[in-house]
Amino acid sequence: MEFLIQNILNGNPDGFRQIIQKYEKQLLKIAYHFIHDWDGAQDITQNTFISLYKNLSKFDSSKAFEPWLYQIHFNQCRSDYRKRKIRNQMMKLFVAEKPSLDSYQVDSDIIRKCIDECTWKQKTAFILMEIEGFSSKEACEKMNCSDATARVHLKRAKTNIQNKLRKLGYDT
Amino acid sequence: MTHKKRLEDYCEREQKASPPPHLIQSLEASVMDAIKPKSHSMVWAMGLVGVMSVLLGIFLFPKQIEPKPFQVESVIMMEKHTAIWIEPISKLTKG
Repeated sequence: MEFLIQNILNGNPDGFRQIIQKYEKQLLKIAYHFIHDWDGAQDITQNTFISLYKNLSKFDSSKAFEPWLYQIHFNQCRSDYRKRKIRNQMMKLFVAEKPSLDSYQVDSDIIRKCIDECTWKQKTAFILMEIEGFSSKEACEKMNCSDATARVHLKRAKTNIQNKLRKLGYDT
Repeated sequence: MTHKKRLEDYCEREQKASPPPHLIQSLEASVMDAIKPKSHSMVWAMGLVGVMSVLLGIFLFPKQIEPKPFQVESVIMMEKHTAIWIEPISKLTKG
């Protein structure tokens, strides 16, 4: 990876295509889990890669590349998520939500809302470990925290979600 | 169904979600297009030449302002106010 980055910095932007191809699918999926919209996920991932390219010269080669990339991506996701949250709150004032008839869809919508109410770190831990299936070791590298901290975030996320579901009468 | 099971089902469904292929292709293309080095030097050079030529034109060949003769066409007086209507001589002669 170091060689590849050096190559790109030396004026060969085509080498960047390899980085895109290696991570695009994973980053798209993570962004999708945060915002539940593929087009939005594409925009976020595009911004991540552009930001990565612009800051490539600042990369500290003594550290691992992946956590750095994921931190950029999480920041992009968080920024976009905040904008969407404000926009959705504004939209709710004017547009009535359509009732969903599909039971799976109802479940998904409610669970998504419960996940959305978790803290950002809890949500990230839940998406990485429970949905994307990363081990706590892999997740903690991406989240830039210790293994134990990542597991604590996940445990709290699950407890929060389950408490919220229980409150909504879903423990039948 | 317990909330735990619901949560597991949800995670399973979400795991299966995969990005549409066209999205991946367009993402790659748009990123590569965005990072492509653009030739700014040519644009700057053209702009500079344009500005320099305008400045040279202004300073080396200042426009001669020829005084045009005018003629009083009419004088209108209303109480304290006086209006004098002047017209270029050429216009008057044409008419």
